[in-house]
Amino acid sequence: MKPCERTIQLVAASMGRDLERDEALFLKEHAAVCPECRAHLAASDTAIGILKGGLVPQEIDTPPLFNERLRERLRERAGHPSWYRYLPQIRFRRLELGFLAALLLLAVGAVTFFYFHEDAPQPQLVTQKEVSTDTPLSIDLEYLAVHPIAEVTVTIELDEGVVFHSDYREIADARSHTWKGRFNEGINSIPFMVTVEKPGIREIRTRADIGDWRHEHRITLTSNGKMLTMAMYRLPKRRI
Amino acid sequence: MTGRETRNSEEKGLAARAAGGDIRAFEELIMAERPRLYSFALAMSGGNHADAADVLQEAFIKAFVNIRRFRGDSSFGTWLWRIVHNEFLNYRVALRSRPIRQEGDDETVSRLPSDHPGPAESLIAAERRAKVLELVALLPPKYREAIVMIDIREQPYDETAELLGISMSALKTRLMRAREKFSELVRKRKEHFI
Repeated sequence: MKPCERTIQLVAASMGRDLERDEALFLKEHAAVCPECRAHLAASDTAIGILKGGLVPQEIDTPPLFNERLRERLRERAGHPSWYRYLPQIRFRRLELGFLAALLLLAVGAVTFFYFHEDAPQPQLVTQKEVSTDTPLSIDLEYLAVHPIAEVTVTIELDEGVVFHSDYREIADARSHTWKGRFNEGINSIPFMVTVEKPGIREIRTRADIGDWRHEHRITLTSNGKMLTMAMYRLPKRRI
Repeated sequence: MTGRETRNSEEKGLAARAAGGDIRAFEELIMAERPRLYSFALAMSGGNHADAADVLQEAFIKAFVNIRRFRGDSSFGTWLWRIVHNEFLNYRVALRSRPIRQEGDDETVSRLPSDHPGPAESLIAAERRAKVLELVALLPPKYREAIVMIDIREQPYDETAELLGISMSALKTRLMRAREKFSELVRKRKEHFI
């Protein structure tokens, strides 16, 4: 192992225990000849001190209106028959600076308790909404898994004229994103935001490979430059 | 009946009422854990209140929706923590609208409650706290929660392992890897802390 790599490891080790004498001696001797590690050690002293020095209080009150909003959402759930609770949830996205601008809910039940339409020949309209083009469109793919699923791949593909809304250039510049991971029992969310750059009709295609099944959605975006109409369709699931 | 058994019995009763649609019963169930969970959510989301509140809201709604699954095998608090934990694993910060914290944006840290509030906390200290939170937020969720639970919140190892549903040895391995990644991040951004 290179000395600089060992420095990284020993800094990490020092977060959980006191270093042995030979370890401390190694750091001292190596730092004397390596400016990079010397700076790293100095920075680590500060950063670890902050990390372990009450970075976040143990208890924090939730923000104003948190409880009111939660109660409102709970009422919405409680006011329906029990089966309704298992439908995909509505998810709201709160934007910065207190602007509740782009509140758009999209609930998608790609895996629900109901498989009545699995062989339906036509796509089903899941939700439809009209929003201003001034704000990015928040989309939340939600999949309800009735048991944990170890391997899931979700791919989101955009038409030309639609871009991912993100300050990360590698995200914003990409035409598609693929997420791989596991689904836990319950509702699993894949949120993302897009902006329609040019008026016209655009499409977003999503594909979730869950077990032996492929779940697909088509999201059509119709923009006249001022307003954006979004319609999400669920395609019949099919075996991979 | 011991205090613990009494509490379990109370929780089961409240959960049964919540399953029947009693919102007040559910609110009573989550009341005790809410400030701790919000603290955890805030650390996990890099000090961003909006994201922390969003994730916690979703977790609470899921807890309500799935309240029938709570059987009292563990405390309600433990059950609730697991839901919040799962919510963060699903939380795709990279696909969110903005980074955890942008350069020059002090709103997050200025709104973050401190154990030592007041004028004594210098601007530099606040800035560095924000930088540390930013580094934590850059860790993959499973590493981030290990650092948040053990190093930031100082939760006991056994309790953390139970919450995460992993063995103690797995937790220690995960924590070691998380600390190494944190150390690497500090090295890459060392200019912020010198």
